[in-house]
Amino acid sequence: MELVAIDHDDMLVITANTTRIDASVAIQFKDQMRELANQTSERVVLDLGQVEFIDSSGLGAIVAAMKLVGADRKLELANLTSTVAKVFKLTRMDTIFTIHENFATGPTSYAV
Amino acid sequence: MDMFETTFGATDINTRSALEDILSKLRPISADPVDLETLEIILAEVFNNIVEHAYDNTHNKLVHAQFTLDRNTLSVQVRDHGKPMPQETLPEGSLADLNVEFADLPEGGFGWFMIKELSQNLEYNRVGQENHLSFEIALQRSSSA
Repeated sequence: MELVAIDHDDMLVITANTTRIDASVAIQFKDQMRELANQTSERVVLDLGQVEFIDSSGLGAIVAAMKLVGADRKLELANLTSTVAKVFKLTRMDTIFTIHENFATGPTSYAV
Repeated sequence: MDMFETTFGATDINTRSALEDILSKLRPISADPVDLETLEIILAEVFNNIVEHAYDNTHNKLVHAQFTLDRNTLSVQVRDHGKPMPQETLPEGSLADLNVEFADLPEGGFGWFMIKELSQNLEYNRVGQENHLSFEIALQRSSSA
């Protein structure tokens, strides 16, 4: 379970370098998000492009992370894979989060 | 008809490897990835529930699962010998209200809702000292045939 944060001036992009956010790593995920969320930035985008699976514990941890980031600068999500998108849709959590498809960041530019 | 069984020690980490093992066995015989996604979501919740609630995260406890695949249906039976469900019945599994203040958004209670949404013929029985849970998944390949 590893989260990598890169600050792009107005946007903190956190990439989850893990294939699963499940019951075995949910607490660890939440703790790491808490630390990273303290870095100041207007926007926080969590890139889940490498995450192939989340369970209800993982989903709960992502909701908890959104609360840690705060109501003012809501946590945004990016690049949901098929199963992860299915879990968000099923639980209607896709209506709570701003979700970006095909989100990419590069050394010199980024697109939303 | 294909059938296989698996037994594993009930921990979070073992749940992860058991899911990988089960999916790798089903992948060659049940080609549709949508069915496997559905199964993985349901099974993860069922196994997590056993680890956390039936066994209270105590170690050296076993989960047994049996899979039967016919042309239209994947049938799953899961057994454990932990505590019974409250009132020996399935939780209601309704989705928490999302129309609430930001700070009150639900961080749990999704598991049984997802199990009920994604499965068919979900049944729970307390049999002696065991919990027996069974459900079915209607296979995509049969609906598209």
